[in-house]
Amino acid sequence: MSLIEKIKPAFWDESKTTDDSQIKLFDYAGIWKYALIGTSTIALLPLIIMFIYSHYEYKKALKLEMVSPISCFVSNTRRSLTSFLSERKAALAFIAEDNHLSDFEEHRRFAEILANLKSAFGEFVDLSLIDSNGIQRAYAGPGHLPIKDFRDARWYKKVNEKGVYVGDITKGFNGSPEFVIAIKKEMDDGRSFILRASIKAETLQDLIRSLAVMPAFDNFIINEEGVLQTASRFYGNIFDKSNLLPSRSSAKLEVREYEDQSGRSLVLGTALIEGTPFRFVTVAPRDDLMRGLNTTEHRFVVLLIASMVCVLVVIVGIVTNLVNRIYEADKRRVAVLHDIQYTNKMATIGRLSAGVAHEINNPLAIINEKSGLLKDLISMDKGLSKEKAVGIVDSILSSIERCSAITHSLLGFARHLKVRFETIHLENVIREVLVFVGKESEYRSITVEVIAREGLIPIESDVGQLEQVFLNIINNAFAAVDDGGRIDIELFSEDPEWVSVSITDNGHGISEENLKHIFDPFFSTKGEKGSGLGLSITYGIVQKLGGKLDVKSKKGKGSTFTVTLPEKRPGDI
Amino acid sequence: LKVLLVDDEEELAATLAERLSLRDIEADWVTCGMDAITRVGEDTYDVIVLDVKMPGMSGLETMEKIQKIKPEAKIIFLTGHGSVEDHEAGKKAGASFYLMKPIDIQVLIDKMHEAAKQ
Repeated sequence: MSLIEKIKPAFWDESKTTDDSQIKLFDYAGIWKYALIGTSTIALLPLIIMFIYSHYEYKKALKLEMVSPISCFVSNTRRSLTSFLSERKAALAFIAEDNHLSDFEEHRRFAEILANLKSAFGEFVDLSLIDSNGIQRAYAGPGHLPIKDFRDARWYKKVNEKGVYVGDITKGFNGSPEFVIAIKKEMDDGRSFILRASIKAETLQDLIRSLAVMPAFDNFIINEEGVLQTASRFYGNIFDKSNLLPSRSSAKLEVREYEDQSGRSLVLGTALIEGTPFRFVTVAPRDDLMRGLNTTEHRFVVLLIASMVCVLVVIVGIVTNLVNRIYEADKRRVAVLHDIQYTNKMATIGRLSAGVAHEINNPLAIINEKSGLLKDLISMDKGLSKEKAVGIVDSILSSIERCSAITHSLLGFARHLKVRFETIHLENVIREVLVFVGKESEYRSITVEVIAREGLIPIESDVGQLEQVFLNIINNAFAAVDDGGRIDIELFSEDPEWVSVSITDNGHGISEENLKHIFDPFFSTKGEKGSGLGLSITYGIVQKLGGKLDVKSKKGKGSTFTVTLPEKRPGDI
Repeated sequence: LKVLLVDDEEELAATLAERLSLRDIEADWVTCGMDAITRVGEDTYDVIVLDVKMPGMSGLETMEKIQKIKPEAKIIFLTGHGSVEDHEAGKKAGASFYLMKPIDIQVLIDKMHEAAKQ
């Protein structure tokens, strides 16, 4: 036996129809499914809604949690970079303020100033002096002193315009990366000059490296065109063009999530260093940031699934148990109904037996007397004529025929105790049933008339059950009418696929109050004589055969019971 | 002994009467309650044998009516309908015997004598 067979509840494969009685059990597998779906929905829906809501809220909190350290780091780094550059600009401004133009034009003095700057900051490479015409007037540094004309240079225009300039990182004299800071000094006599210094770019790299707090972060600087100004772990070396082009409009600090070309999920933080072409960028793989936080979420999901499974197991247990109990009760109900139906049928036969005995005893008595007379005439030697003897024997034979007609009818009725569908003519069934009440109608002068309308079709039904139905209704009609009363039985068809039988009596009728209850089990107006089951069972049988049972009645006027039956057996409709 | 047989089965009543006559018992027969009452009014019978189930007037009704005319009339029910209730009702109404069809003629004659002596 497989595991499924072992745990499968008893009701699962229960046939919806019992063998021959056609008393239906409920569809337990269906009830079980509906109950399970309904209960599970009620129990799990709030849990799922709560989970979705918490998940949403958690994600929101998580995002804040993730954004906050990056935002903080970017902001700090920007401040440090701004401060670094401001210091260098301030130093140049101080030198311009502190010296006279003629001091700069003295080569030795100019070289001394550069030496001082180098000793103070270390990273200064060279220093130039450009006059208000854009001509380089003095130079200190590793190169020579070429007379240069910067009038058309972009940086020269910018420094003239804004008074200060910080340039992109470019390759210097010996190929190492450098960037330029230039400041303009307006003199009292209306002239002006520019001090321009080249600074080693690696100091920026060192500064960024020294500020890095998280090893997973990739920190670098790009310019406005997206060209790397310092080396990046993810995007290449200095001077490589990165595909990162942060929105230029946003001078503010910006943190956002994005997916790079390789499909990697990243978190990007950027900030523009004001007054420079530099934009500080930090990039961190999202997974690294979320590692700890995701674990919590995974635990939460596992917990949710575990609780859902627990709830489901309990629900399945409870529902199975409940349905099983209903099933057991229903099985008992069907068994009791079986018994009641059988008992009712036997009781009907019992009620008939007294009448049947009378029908048989009368011809038997005739046989008894006729044969007794024959014997008397022979034994007493009273001169029995041939004609007389034949007359007596004929009378005996006709009485025997009467007996056999009765026994045949009775046997026919008993034969139909077993349920069997066959093609039948309802009129024949009615006539067979009327045999049992024929004498009663005669004794009580009750007129019973059967009218079969034209065009009646044969139907597929169970004779035995129909006999019980009609016998119950006709017996009730006999009980309702007084001696000399009338019972009309009409067979007709209002619908091509249905045949109706109406049994109308002119008896006592049923009160409106009682009419509501006549099909209720154990409801009886006959006192101790009735079980109160007859009409209830009749109703049940008619329904089982796929038919309808209607009743119309008026107190004091009589009742009409109409049985309407389908042409085909219930399962075929 | 003079008896009246009342039974809706004409053949039965006639044959029984004939057999009783063969045994020197004077037996008249009728087939309904009304005729029985008429006969009882016209003649005197030692015993009246009544069927219970008869069309028109039942055996019990017939007995009631006979008892009104002849309260001393001795009545035996002879029926094919053997329900306990009918038996009880017949005895209660004052019938001497309640007998079942078919019956041995000697038993019937004995009961008639017995009833007549009561």
